[in-house]
Amino acid sequence: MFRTLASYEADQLGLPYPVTLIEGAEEEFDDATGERTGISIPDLDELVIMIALSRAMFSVQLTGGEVKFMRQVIGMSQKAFAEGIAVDPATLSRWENGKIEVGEWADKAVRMAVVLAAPALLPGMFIDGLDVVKLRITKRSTDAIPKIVVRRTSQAADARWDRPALMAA
Amino acid sequence: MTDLERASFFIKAMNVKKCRIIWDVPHALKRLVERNVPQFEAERIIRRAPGVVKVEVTPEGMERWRVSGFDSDERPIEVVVQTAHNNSALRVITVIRTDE
Repeated sequence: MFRTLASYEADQLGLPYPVTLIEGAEEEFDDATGERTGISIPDLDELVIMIALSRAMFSVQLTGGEVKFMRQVIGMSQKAFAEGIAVDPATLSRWENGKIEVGEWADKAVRMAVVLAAPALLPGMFIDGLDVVKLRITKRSTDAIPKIVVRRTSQAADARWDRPALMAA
Repeated sequence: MTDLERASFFIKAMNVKKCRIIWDVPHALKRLVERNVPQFEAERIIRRAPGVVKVEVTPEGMERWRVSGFDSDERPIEVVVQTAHNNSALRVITVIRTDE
Protein backbone atom coordinates (compact mmCIF):
# COMPACT_ATOMS: atom_id res chain seq x y z
CA MET A 1 0.00 0.00 0.00
CA PHE A 2 1.01 3.63 -0.41
CA ARG A 3 0.59 6.81 1.54
CA THR A 4 1.70 10.35 0.73
CA LEU A 5 4.24 11.72 3.18
CA ALA A 6 3.45 15.13 4.64
CA SER A 7 7.16 15.93 4.53
CA TYR A 8 10.15 14.04 3.16
CA GLU A 9 13.83 14.98 3.11
CA ALA A 10 15.06 13.93 -0.33
CA ASP A 11 18.82 13.59 -0.01
CA GLN A 12 19.65 11.55 -3.12
CA LEU A 13 18.73 14.16 -5.71
CA GLY A 14 22.33 15.01 -6.52
CA LEU A 15 22.45 18.24 -4.54
CA PRO A 16 24.96 18.51 -1.70
CA TYR A 17 22.06 18.99 0.74
CA PRO A 18 18.55 17.56 1.14
CA VAL A 19 15.42 19.09 -0.36
CA THR A 20 12.17 19.06 1.62
CA LEU A 21 9.21 17.70 -0.35
CA ILE A 22 5.81 18.65 1.02
CA GLU A 23 3.18 16.05 0.15
CA GLY A 24 5.51 15.07 -2.67
CA ALA A 25 6.90 11.63 -1.83
CA GLU A 26 4.95 8.41 -1.57
CA GLU A 27 5.83 5.76 0.95
CA GLU A 28 5.19 2.11 0.21
CA PHE A 29 4.58 0.19 3.41
CA ASP A 30 4.02 -3.37 4.51
CA ASP A 31 0.34 -3.92 5.28
CA ALA A 32 1.11 -6.31 8.13
CA THR A 33 3.87 -4.45 9.94
CA GLY A 34 3.39 -0.86 8.77
CA GLU A 35 7.12 -0.82 8.02
CA ARG A 36 8.39 1.33 5.14
CA THR A 37 9.47 -0.83 2.19
CA GLY A 38 9.94 1.75 -0.54
CA ILE A 39 9.88 5.39 -1.57
CA SER A 40 8.59 6.88 -4.79
CA ILE A 41 8.86 10.48 -5.98
CA PRO A 42 6.40 11.11 -8.81
CA ASP A 43 7.56 13.28 -11.72
CA LEU A 44 11.11 13.32 -10.39
CA ASP A 45 12.57 14.70 -13.61
CA GLU A 46 10.24 17.68 -13.54
CA LEU A 47 11.06 18.23 -9.88
CA VAL A 48 14.83 18.44 -10.43
CA ILE A 49 14.39 20.81 -13.36
CA MET A 50 12.20 23.07 -11.21
CA ILE A 51 14.80 22.97 -8.43
CA ALA A 52 17.66 23.78 -10.81
CA LEU A 53 15.73 26.69 -12.30
CA SER A 54 14.75 28.09 -8.94
CA ARG A 55 18.31 27.77 -7.68
CA ALA A 56 19.48 29.55 -10.83
CA MET A 57 17.25 32.51 -9.94
CA PHE A 58 18.28 32.57 -6.27
CA SER A 59 21.03 35.12 -5.91
CA VAL A 60 23.36 33.39 -3.44
CA GLN A 61 26.64 32.30 -5.09
CA LEU A 62 26.63 28.71 -6.41
CA THR A 63 28.75 26.00 -4.85
CA GLY A 64 30.63 23.46 -6.96
CA GLY A 65 28.13 20.78 -5.94
CA GLU A 66 25.28 22.93 -7.19
CA VAL A 67 27.08 23.53 -10.50
CA LYS A 68 27.44 19.77 -10.90
CA PHE A 69 23.73 19.24 -10.10
CA MET A 70 22.67 21.84 -12.67
CA ARG A 71 24.92 20.35 -15.34
CA GLN A 72 23.55 16.86 -14.67
CA VAL A 73 19.95 18.10 -14.72
CA ILE A 74 20.42 19.56 -18.19
CA GLY A 75 22.09 16.30 -19.20
CA MET A 76 25.51 17.52 -20.29
CA SER A 77 28.85 15.83 -19.70
CA GLN A 78 31.63 17.77 -17.96
CA LYS A 79 33.48 18.08 -21.27
CA ALA A 80 30.52 19.35 -23.29
CA PHE A 81 29.43 21.75 -20.55
CA ALA A 82 32.95 23.14 -20.11
CA GLU A 83 33.17 23.74 -23.85
CA GLY A 84 29.72 25.33 -23.84
CA ILE A 85 30.56 27.89 -21.19
CA ALA A 86 34.11 28.31 -22.49
CA VAL A 87 36.13 27.09 -19.52
CA ASP A 88 38.83 24.49 -19.25
CA PRO A 89 37.31 21.10 -18.30
CA ALA A 90 39.90 20.88 -15.52
CA THR A 91 38.58 24.14 -14.07
CA LEU A 92 35.01 22.87 -14.17
CA SER A 93 36.14 19.69 -12.44
CA ARG A 94 37.86 21.72 -9.72
CA TRP A 95 34.69 23.79 -9.18
CA GLU A 96 32.57 20.66 -8.95
CA ASN A 97 34.96 19.05 -6.49
CA GLY A 98 35.02 22.18 -4.35
CA LYS A 99 38.74 22.75 -4.87
CA ILE A 100 38.23 26.26 -6.19
CA GLU A 101 35.39 28.73 -5.86
CA VAL A 102 33.09 29.49 -8.79
CA GLY A 103 33.74 33.05 -9.95
CA GLU A 104 30.90 35.49 -10.51
CA TRP A 105 30.86 35.50 -14.33
CA ALA A 106 31.13 31.71 -14.42
CA ASP A 107 28.35 31.48 -11.85
CA LYS A 108 26.12 33.51 -14.17
CA ALA A 109 27.09 31.43 -17.21
CA VAL A 110 26.03 28.26 -15.39
CA ARG A 111 22.70 29.83 -14.40
CA MET A 112 22.15 31.05 -17.94
CA ALA A 113 22.77 27.53 -19.30
CA VAL A 114 20.03 26.16 -17.04
CA VAL A 115 17.58 28.91 -17.98
CA LEU A 116 18.24 28.43 -21.70
CA ALA A 117 17.94 24.65 -21.49
CA ALA A 118 14.71 24.69 -19.45
CA PRO A 119 12.09 25.13 -22.21
CA ALA A 120 13.41 22.07 -24.05
CA LEU A 121 13.43 20.02 -20.84
CA LEU A 122 10.13 21.23 -19.49
CA PRO A 123 7.84 22.56 -22.19
CA GLY A 124 5.94 25.62 -21.05
CA MET A 125 8.64 26.65 -18.59
CA PHE A 126 10.23 29.92 -19.56
CA ILE A 127 12.41 32.34 -17.62
CA ASP A 128 13.70 35.47 -19.30
CA GLY A 129 17.49 35.24 -19.65
CA LEU A 130 17.62 38.94 -18.93
CA ASP A 131 16.58 38.15 -15.35
CA VAL A 132 19.84 36.22 -14.97
CA VAL A 133 21.80 39.11 -16.42
CA LYS A 134 20.17 41.46 -13.90
CA LEU A 135 20.73 39.11 -10.96
CA ARG A 136 23.10 40.50 -8.31
CA ILE A 137 25.08 37.52 -7.05
CA THR A 138 25.58 37.67 -3.31
CA LYS A 139 28.54 36.13 -1.58
CA ARG A 140 27.86 32.90 0.28
CA SER A 141 28.71 32.86 3.94
CA THR A 142 30.95 29.96 4.94
CA ASP A 143 29.15 26.60 5.06
CA ALA A 144 25.78 28.24 4.43
CA ILE A 145 23.39 26.11 2.41
CA PRO A 146 20.04 27.19 1.04
CA LYS A 147 16.94 25.53 2.40
CA ILE A 148 14.78 24.30 -0.49
CA VAL A 149 11.14 23.37 0.09
CA VAL A 150 8.91 22.09 -2.75
CA ARG A 151 5.23 21.30 -2.56
CA ARG A 152 3.52 18.95 -4.97
CA THR A 153 0.60 20.57 -6.66
CA SER A 154 -2.47 19.39 -8.43
CA GLN A 155 -3.76 22.89 -9.01
CA ALA A 156 -2.16 23.64 -12.37
CA ALA A 157 -2.84 21.44 -15.38
CA ASP A 158 0.65 21.96 -16.78
CA ALA A 159 2.67 21.62 -13.58
CA ARG A 160 3.02 18.91 -11.00
CA TRP A 161 5.31 20.76 -8.60
CA ASP A 162 5.01 24.26 -7.22
CA ARG A 163 7.93 26.59 -7.71
CA PRO A 164 10.43 25.66 -4.99
CA ALA A 165 10.83 28.06 -2.10
CA LEU A 166 14.45 28.89 -1.35
CA MET A 167 15.74 30.47 1.81
CA ALA A 168 19.26 31.49 2.66
CA ALA A 169 20.64 29.51 5.58
CA MET B 1 10.75 -13.68 -28.50
CA THR B 2 13.72 -14.05 -26.11
CA ASP B 3 13.58 -13.21 -22.38
CA LEU B 4 15.54 -10.00 -23.04
CA GLU B 5 13.23 -8.90 -25.84
CA ARG B 6 10.17 -9.64 -23.70
CA ALA B 7 11.62 -7.71 -20.74
CA SER B 8 12.53 -4.75 -22.98
CA PHE B 9 9.04 -4.73 -24.46
CA PHE B 10 7.48 -4.80 -20.98
CA ILE B 11 9.61 -1.99 -19.59
CA LYS B 12 8.90 0.23 -22.60
CA ALA B 13 5.18 -0.43 -22.25
CA MET B 14 5.33 0.42 -18.52
CA ASN B 15 7.16 3.65 -19.27
CA VAL B 16 4.50 4.65 -21.78
CA LYS B 17 2.05 4.37 -18.88
CA LYS B 18 4.46 6.45 -16.73
CA CYS B 19 4.50 3.71 -14.16
CA ARG B 20 5.46 4.47 -10.58
CA ILE B 21 9.14 3.86 -9.76
CA ILE B 22 9.62 2.63 -6.20
CA TRP B 23 13.01 2.70 -4.54
CA ASP B 24 13.66 -0.21 -2.23
CA VAL B 25 14.59 1.10 1.22
CA PRO B 26 17.14 1.22 2.55
CA HIS B 27 19.18 -0.86 0.09
CA ALA B 28 18.64 0.89 -3.27
CA LEU B 29 18.93 4.41 -1.86
CA LYS B 30 22.15 3.50 -0.03
CA ARG B 31 23.67 2.15 -3.24
CA LEU B 32 22.93 5.47 -4.96
CA VAL B 33 25.02 7.30 -2.39
CA GLU B 34 27.84 4.74 -2.45
CA ARG B 35 28.00 4.85 -6.25
CA ASN B 36 27.58 8.59 -6.49
CA VAL B 37 24.61 8.42 -8.84
CA PRO B 38 21.79 10.96 -8.42
CA GLN B 39 18.34 9.38 -8.18
CA PHE B 40 17.04 11.27 -11.21
CA GLU B 41 19.89 10.01 -13.41
CA ALA B 42 19.00 6.40 -12.54
CA GLU B 43 15.31 7.06 -13.22
CA ARG B 44 16.15 8.68 -16.56
CA ILE B 45 17.92 5.46 -17.54
CA ILE B 46 14.79 3.46 -16.68
CA ARG B 47 12.48 5.89 -18.46
CA ARG B 48 14.61 6.00 -21.58
CA ALA B 49 15.04 2.24 -21.32
CA PRO B 50 17.66 1.80 -23.99
CA GLY B 51 17.67 -1.89 -23.29
CA VAL B 52 17.47 -4.71 -20.81
CA VAL B 53 20.82 -6.48 -20.82
CA LYS B 54 20.13 -9.31 -18.40
CA VAL B 55 17.17 -11.18 -16.96
CA GLU B 56 17.75 -12.86 -13.60
CA VAL B 57 15.41 -14.98 -11.48
CA THR B 58 15.48 -14.63 -7.69
CA PRO B 59 15.28 -17.68 -5.41
CA GLU B 60 11.64 -16.66 -4.83
CA GLY B 61 10.99 -16.97 -8.56
CA MET B 62 10.73 -13.23 -9.27
CA GLU B 63 12.24 -11.94 -12.49
CA ARG B 64 14.70 -9.05 -12.22
CA TRP B 65 15.83 -7.02 -15.18
CA ARG B 66 19.08 -5.11 -15.60
CA VAL B 67 18.39 -1.90 -17.49
CA SER B 68 21.53 -0.46 -19.00
CA GLY B 69 22.34 3.12 -19.94
CA PHE B 70 24.64 6.07 -19.39
CA ASP B 71 24.49 9.03 -17.05
CA SER B 72 25.20 12.61 -18.13
CA ASP B 73 28.95 11.99 -17.71
CA GLU B 74 28.65 9.00 -20.03
CA ARG B 75 29.41 6.58 -17.22
CA PRO B 76 27.81 3.16 -17.85
CA ILE B 77 25.13 2.37 -15.28
CA GLU B 78 22.86 -0.61 -14.79
CA VAL B 79 19.66 -0.32 -12.79
CA VAL B 80 18.24 -3.59 -11.47
CA VAL B 81 14.43 -3.54 -11.38
CA GLN B 82 11.52 -5.88 -10.93
CA THR B 83 7.85 -5.35 -11.51
CA ALA B 84 5.59 -4.71 -8.54
CA HIS B 85 1.95 -4.14 -7.70
CA ASN B 86 0.54 -6.28 -10.51
CA ASN B 87 2.86 -4.78 -13.12
CA SER B 88 1.73 -1.21 -12.37
CA ALA B 89 5.10 -0.23 -10.85
CA LEU B 90 8.81 -0.90 -11.13
CA ARG B 91 10.82 -1.53 -7.99
CA VAL B 92 14.47 -0.49 -8.08
CA ILE B 93 16.55 -3.10 -6.30
CA THR B 94 20.01 -1.65 -6.84
CA VAL B 95 22.14 0.58 -9.04
CA ILE B 96 25.47 -0.61 -10.43
CA ARG B 97 28.30 1.38 -12.00
CA THR B 98 29.87 -1.00 -14.47
CA ASP B 99 33.00 1.15 -14.87
CA GLU B 100 34.06 0.58 -11.24
